[in-house]
Amino acid sequence: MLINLSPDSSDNSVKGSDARMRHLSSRSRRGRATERHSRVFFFRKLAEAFDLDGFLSNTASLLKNQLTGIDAVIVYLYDGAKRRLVPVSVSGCEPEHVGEIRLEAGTSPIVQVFEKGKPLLWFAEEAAGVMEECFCPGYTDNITFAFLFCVPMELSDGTRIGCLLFLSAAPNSMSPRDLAFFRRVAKILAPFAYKAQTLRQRQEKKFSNLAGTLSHELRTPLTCIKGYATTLLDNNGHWNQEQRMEFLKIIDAETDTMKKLIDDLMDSSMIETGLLSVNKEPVLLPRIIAKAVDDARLRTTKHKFVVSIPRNFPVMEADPVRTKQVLDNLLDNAVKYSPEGGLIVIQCRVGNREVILSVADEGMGIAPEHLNRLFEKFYRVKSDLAGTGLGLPVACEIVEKQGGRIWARSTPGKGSTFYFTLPLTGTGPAAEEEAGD
Amino acid sequence: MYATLVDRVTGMLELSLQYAAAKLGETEAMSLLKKNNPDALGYFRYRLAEQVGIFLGETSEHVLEVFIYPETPDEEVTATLPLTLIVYVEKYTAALESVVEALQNAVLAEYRKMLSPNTDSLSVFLNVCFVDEEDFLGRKGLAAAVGSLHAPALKVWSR
Repeated sequence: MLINLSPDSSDNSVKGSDARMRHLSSRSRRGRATERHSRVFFFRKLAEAFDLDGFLSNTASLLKNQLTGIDAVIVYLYDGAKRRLVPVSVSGCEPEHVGEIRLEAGTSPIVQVFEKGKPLLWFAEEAAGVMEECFCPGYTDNITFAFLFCVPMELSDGTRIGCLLFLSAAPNSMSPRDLAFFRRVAKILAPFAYKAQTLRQRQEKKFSNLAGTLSHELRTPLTCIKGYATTLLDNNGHWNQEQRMEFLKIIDAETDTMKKLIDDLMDSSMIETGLLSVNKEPVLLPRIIAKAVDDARLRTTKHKFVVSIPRNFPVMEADPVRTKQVLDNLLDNAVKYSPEGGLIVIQCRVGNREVILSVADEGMGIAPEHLNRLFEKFYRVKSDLAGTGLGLPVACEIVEKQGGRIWARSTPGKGSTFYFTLPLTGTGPAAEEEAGD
Repeated sequence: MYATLVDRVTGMLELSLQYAAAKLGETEAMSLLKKNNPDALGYFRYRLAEQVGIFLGETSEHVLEVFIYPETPDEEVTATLPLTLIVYVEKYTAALESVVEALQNAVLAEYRKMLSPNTDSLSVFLNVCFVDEEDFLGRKGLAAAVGSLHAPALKVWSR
């Protein structure tokens, strides 16, 4: 077994390989010592190279490029829902020709490796039989592998999550002696593969939920706008000026709802691409708070707002538009999650180095298990209330971009308090009149 | 820009000052307060407690009654003596706790400014303690003072 550490053959994700260590033979004593060294180096690089996002797609090519004598690698992960071994990463052969393996097919050699947890090696005709299991019909006519080596991937608690299949065209490039090495590779990869698979499944579930949520969230205001616009255009309807104004106000409000939803989606994609920026300038925070509260008051008649801002509030550096966006979001949530109405308190305190703002409500509160996931994208505490689960992640990004922090405290049934801070970097004088007038 | 909590607190302190002056038949109560006159301070504190009760009652429907926790007979009433209020609530909420925290801070800031320099070192003035039905029934903590025969708490506001 040879480990290829030459820089020219290394995968992009494994950088800085030692150029001096290349094509090391295991035959001589010196060669064996160097091989041990190179294996340690290989395992270290293997562990360092992975990032969870690209793990599933990059693993096979990384292994193929790093191991001399290996011509193709297939990483199978077990899908419990389908009861199948699914190829998640393929290198050295056409991925579209690699099929899933059903666990019911108990005679499949790959399934035996997975179920029994013992590696297997196949040569010549045996290898050809296994390839029939792995590839789509007809594909094996074009390719030839002299032998195959399959090792199960197990977590530390013994849970098997999939297996690695190494394929080689050269008949003597691998031997049973390499068993320990391949088991070690599988052991290192298993926890990464498990985490990557879990992450991918979670993302897939989120995106599937998102599609449903978005279509619902966009359809609701759209239906309303269409309904009132059609009503206004109806020539048979004799609407007086007051009724017309009422319909137009509803259309206006629903358009705002749609605009906010689209803005949230835009901001979310800007976060993804790292394009969300904040433009700090000297601001009087009390004015931003007052505007946000005035806007919130227009959206509800059931709630009472109390605003507490100390006198002599300093001029500080912040992005006025983005900061108001954060406040709007927190106030929207406070209103939304206390549908019976009640008190909403906006408090602002000035510390030595930062300003702390809080928005407290008397709503339904948030259970502890949801509290630390509130700022995850698309995470929603109550799916029956309107929202996309993007408001708080966007708010979090805005606050952190300005050098602040955001967090929440809540007791179910007693309401929630959301806090965020902004650093005090302004040097302007106190503005007593402005804060109090 | 509308009136914030600080403006409301300023109004409460002014009303309390006027009340003390009216009760003592004086035109200027401030100098009496600064001289630690116990009568002036007593009227001022009573009226302030009542104003806080009205404010809390208006603000949250969960507030049912407000009491002044009495000073012990040997306790001297001075400008730096904290004013402890017992607020009987239907239930505690995050918003109620936040508004009380803001109110305590605002009253402290404005009161310190009003009676400076006597109150410059003051770190606590208004001290609002919530009690609920469970506390009353179990006579727990300050709730025990409400029905006390020895030193009963004085009701200043009720829904």
